[in-house]
Amino acid sequence: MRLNSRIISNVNVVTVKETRIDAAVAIQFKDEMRAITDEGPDRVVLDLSEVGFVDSSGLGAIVAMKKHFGTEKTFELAGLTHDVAKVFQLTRMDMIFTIHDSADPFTAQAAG
Amino acid sequence: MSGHNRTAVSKQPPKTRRIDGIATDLGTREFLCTIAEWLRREDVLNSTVATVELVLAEATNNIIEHAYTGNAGPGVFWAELSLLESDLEVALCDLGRAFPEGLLPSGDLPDLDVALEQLPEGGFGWFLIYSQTKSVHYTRETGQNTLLLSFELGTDQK
Repeated sequence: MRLNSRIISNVNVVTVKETRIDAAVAIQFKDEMRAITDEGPDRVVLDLSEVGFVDSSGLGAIVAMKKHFGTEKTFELAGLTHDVAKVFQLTRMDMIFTIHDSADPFTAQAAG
Repeated sequence: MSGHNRTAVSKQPPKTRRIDGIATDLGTREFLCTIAEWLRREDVLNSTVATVELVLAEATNNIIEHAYTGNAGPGVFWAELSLLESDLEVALCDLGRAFPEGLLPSGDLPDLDVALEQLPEGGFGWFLIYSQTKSVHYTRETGQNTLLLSFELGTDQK
């Protein structure tokens, strides 16, 4: 599981460099997310634009991260692809997370 | 449907395909990718392929977690797919433990109206299976579980 972290204007933008978050990588995803966000900004944006498939195990792992951060860090999602957005809508998890259309506004601030 | 190229004057026999899988997390991945590839080759809509892949992911995760839990080695499962005129039927079979009392689990969506630390991290699988299929039937016969799932092929674009 490859995660790419960029800290821009005090936001940790974590891009998932995989096409699937499923049962095969759910535990790894949680472990590496914890490691990559342990230090650093209190605002974490998870960029899912390269992920085309999330099953309920993957969804559970993303929920687990939100619980892990608790009230200490803000955890938001960005760039959900069509099929991934559908899983969030069906399970109503789209009501629980702040979801941005794209992570671009967070990364573009570097140029400005 | 008008504008459709497949003008089946005489009814075509359904296209069928059997795909085998090994009951591990990576085995499931390979199984799902093979199925998705076959469906795309048969011109099934992308949105339908995504639905089938999600439902079969949940159903095979269930086989690994429940039917084969505690087994010495990984079990096997397989899908028999039949592409009919407007439906896709999938018989998902395994040789593991039966469902308790021979009944399918309920598919209620977990309660999300709870405190942050109580948010559910699971329990979505059967909800996704029931909500994304036309019908679900379960049979148990001579040591074999068969989950018969049917999907509408759909006609929307993309």
